[in-house]
Amino acid sequence: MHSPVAALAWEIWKRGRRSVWLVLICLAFCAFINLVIPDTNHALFSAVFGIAMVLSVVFLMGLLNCTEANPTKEWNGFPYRIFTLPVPTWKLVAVPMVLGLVTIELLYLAWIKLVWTHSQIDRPLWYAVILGAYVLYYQTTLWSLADFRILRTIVLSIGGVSGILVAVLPALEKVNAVSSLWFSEERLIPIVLGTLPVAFVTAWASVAGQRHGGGCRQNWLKLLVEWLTDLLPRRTRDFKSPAAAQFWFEWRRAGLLLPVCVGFALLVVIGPLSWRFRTDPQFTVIALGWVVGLPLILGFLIGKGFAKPDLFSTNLSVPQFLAVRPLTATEFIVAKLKVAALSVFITWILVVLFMTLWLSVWADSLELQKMLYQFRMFHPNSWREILALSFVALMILTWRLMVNGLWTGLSGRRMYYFGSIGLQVLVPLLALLACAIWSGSIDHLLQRNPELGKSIAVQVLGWCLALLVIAKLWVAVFSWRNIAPRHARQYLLMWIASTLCFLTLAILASPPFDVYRQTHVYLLAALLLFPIARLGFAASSLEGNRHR
Amino acid sequence: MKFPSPSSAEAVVSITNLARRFGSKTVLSDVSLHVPRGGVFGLVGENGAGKTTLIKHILGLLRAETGRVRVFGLNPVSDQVSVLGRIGYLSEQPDLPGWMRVDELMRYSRAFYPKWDAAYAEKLREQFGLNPTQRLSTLSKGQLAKAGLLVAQAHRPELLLLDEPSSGLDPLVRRDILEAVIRTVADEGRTVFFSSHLLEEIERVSDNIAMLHQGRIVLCGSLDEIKLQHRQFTLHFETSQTRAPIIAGALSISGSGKEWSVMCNGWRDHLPEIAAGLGARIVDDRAQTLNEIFVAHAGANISTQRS
Repeated sequence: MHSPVAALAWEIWKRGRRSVWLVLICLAFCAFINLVIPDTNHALFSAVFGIAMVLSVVFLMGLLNCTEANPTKEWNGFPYRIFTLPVPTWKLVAVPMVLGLVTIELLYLAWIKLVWTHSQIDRPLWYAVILGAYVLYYQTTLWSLADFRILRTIVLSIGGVSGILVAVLPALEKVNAVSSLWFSEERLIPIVLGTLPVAFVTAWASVAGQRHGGGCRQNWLKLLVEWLTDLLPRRTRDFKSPAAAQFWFEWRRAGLLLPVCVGFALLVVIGPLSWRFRTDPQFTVIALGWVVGLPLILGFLIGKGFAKPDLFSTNLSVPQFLAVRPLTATEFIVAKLKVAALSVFITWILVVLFMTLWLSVWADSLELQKMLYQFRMFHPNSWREILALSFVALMILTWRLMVNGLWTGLSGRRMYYFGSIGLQVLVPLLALLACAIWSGSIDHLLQRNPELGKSIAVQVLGWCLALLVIAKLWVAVFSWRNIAPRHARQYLLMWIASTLCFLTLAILASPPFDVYRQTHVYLLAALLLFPIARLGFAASSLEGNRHR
Repeated sequence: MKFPSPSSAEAVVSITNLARRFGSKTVLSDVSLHVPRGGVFGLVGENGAGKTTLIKHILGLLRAETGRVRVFGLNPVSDQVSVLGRIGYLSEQPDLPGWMRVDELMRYSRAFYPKWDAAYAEKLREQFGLNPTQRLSTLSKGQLAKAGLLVAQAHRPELLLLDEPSSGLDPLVRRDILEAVIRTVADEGRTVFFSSHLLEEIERVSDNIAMLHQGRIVLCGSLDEIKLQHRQFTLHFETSQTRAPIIAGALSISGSGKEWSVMCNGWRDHLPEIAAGLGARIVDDRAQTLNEIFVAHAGANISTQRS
C-alpha cells in the first residue's frame, strides 16, 4: 500500500470483511435459486429475493458506517485515531463515502444482473440514485451526530422512513389524489443528486470540527441538549438499595429511548400525515394500524440493543464498571425487566393520549366506526373486555419484544446474539421460500377443498403450538432451577397473571361458532406469549459473561 | 519457583497454581501468590506480563481455568457479591459512564456499599477538586482517575486493588493517588494491591512485591529483603578478559577488559570465594534499585529461555 487512500480503504474492508461475506452469501443464495427455478415461478420468489436484497444492503451499511465508540466520552463517531494521520479531512471523509457509493452501486448492479433477471425492475436508475443517496446520508448522520446517540437513532429512523417515502414518490406520479409533476423521475433524480454534495460538505464540516476540537467538540446542539437535560429534575436523594440504584442506572441508560422514539414518530410523522389526510376515512384505519404497531416494531428493534449489557455499545462484554458492582446477575436482570416495563408503560400512555386526541379532534372516523360496529355485533357482550384486554396484551407483547433477547444479548457471545437475530430474519425468509416453492400445491388444495385446507392448517398449527408449549414449560423448569426462589416466585406470579389475561382474551375473542376449533389454537398461543423459558437463562448468561 | 509467603490462612488474597490461556497464548502459568493482610503489595511486570489478568481473577471477572483463587477465604466467582463488597477497584482506564455527573456517581456507588463513608467521600471529592455537577464525559484523564479512586476508596475497602492507576497521568495526579494509597494503609488492617510497570512508584510505597514476567512469578517477597539480597559487585581481574566470566547463578554479567559487574541474588557471602577462584577481587558492592533488579530478572529469564 503506497497511498493513504489505499490504506484507508483497506482498513474499512478489513474491519468489515464479515459483512462482505454475508452480502455475498445473500447474493449467491438468490442467484443460485434464480438459476435453478423454472421461469414461470420467478414471481413467487420475489418476496424472498426482496428480503435478501434488503438484508445485503443492511450488511453493507454495517461495513460502511466507519465509526468507533468511546464509552467514557459518550461519543461514537468518525474514528478519532485516524485524525492524527497526515491526511486532509476532506480525503478522510471522501474515502469511505466514495467507497460506499461504489460498493452499493456495484451490489445493486449485481442483484439486477444475477437475481432480478426475469422480472423487469421499474426505474432502475432512480433506485440506483436513491441507494447511493442513502449511503451518503447514513454516513453523514452517523458522523455529524456522534455526540447524540438517542437523537441519532431517531434521525436515522425518521430518515429511513422518509427515504422509503421518497423512493416510492415516482410511483405516485400517476395517482390522481397525490399526483404532482415534482414526483417524476426526471425531476427527482437531479434534486437528489444535487443534495449529495450538501451531505458531503456537512460530513466534512462535522468531521473537521471534531478533528480540530478533539473528537467530542462542544457545539451549540450539544450545549442545547445539555441545557435541556439540565432543566429536567435530577435525583438528589440517596438510593434505598443496590437494586434501586441499578434500576436508576438502567433507566437513565435505556429507559427513555422507546417512549422518545415512539413520541417523536407520532409527533413528526403520523401527526402531520393524519392532519394532511384528516378527511380520508380509509387513512384513519391504516394510520391506526401504524399507531398501534409502532411500539411493537420499535420495541422489537430497540429490544435488540436493550438485550445487550450496554445499549449503545457494539461490545457485548459487561462493562467493567458494572461487572465490579457487588450485585448478583439476577438483580441486574430484574433491573432491566423493570426498566423495560416502565418504558413500555409510558410508551403506551403516549400512544393512548395521541389516539384520544387524534380520533376525537381531527380524524375522519367513519370507516373506523363501521368496523367497531361490526366488532360489537360479533362480540355483543364482551367487546369492552376484549378491547381492554387487547390493550394490556399489546403492552405485554411490547415488553416481551424488549426483553426476550436478554439471554443471548447478555451472554457476551456474538455468535449467540447475532445468530438469534439472524434466525428471526431467516425463519420468516425460509417460510416465504417454502410458500413460494409449494405455492402451487397449496393453491391447488385450497381450490379443490377450501374447508379441508383450513381444517388441516388449524390442526397442524395446533399441534405445532402444543409441542412448543410442552417444550417451553420443560425448558422453563430447567432454566429457572438456579434462580433464587424469591425471584422465581415473583416472576411465576407475573407469568400466571399475564397468561390468565391472554387466556381470557383468547376465550373471549374466539369465534361464536368454532367449526375449526380455533379456540384451541388461541389458547395454546396464549400460553406461549409471556416469556418464561428463555428468560430463565438470562441470569446464567450474564454470569458467564461476567466471569469469562 | 517457590517463594516464602504468608500462609493462605492469614492471606487476604491466596492464589495457588493459577494458569490461564487466551486461545493459544498462555497469559498466566502456575502462579502462586499470597497477599498478607495490611500493607501495600506491589505487583510489577512489563506490559503484557499478565498483571491485569491476575487482578481480574482476584475480582472474579475471570474464572480460574486451573488452580485456585481465594479472596478473604472466599471464591471470588461463586461469592462475588461478598467479595466485591469488600474490595475497592481502580483500573488504568476507569470506564466510568460518561453521562453520569460526579455527585450521581457517588450516590450510585454508595448504594452498593453499606460501609460507605459519606463524609470521607465528600472530603476526597473536595481534596481532588471534583465539581459535583460536572459530567464524567467532560473530565480529564487525571480527574477521571481521581473520580475512580474516590468511589474505590470511599467505602473504606478491606482490599484496595489498583491496576496501573497512575499510568499516563501527570506527576501531581500520581502524587495524589500515591498519597491516597498511603492513607489507606495507615487505616489499620487494610491492604492495597498495587500493580504497575512504573517501578519507582512501587518501590516508594510497597512493603511486599511480586514480579511477574511472561505470565510467571519470577520474584516474590518483602521489598527490603529483596533489595538486601540483590547486590551488584564489581570484579577486578588482573588481566584483561576477552569473554565474560562464567558465574553460576548470576542474574547479569556485564563489562569489558579487567572490570566486570555481576548482579547476584542471595549468595553475597559466597561471591568473594568465587571471585578468588576466577582470579578476581571485589572492588565495589552496591545495592540495586527495583528497576535494576527487574531488568536483571527479566533479562535472565529471556537468556534462560534462549538457552
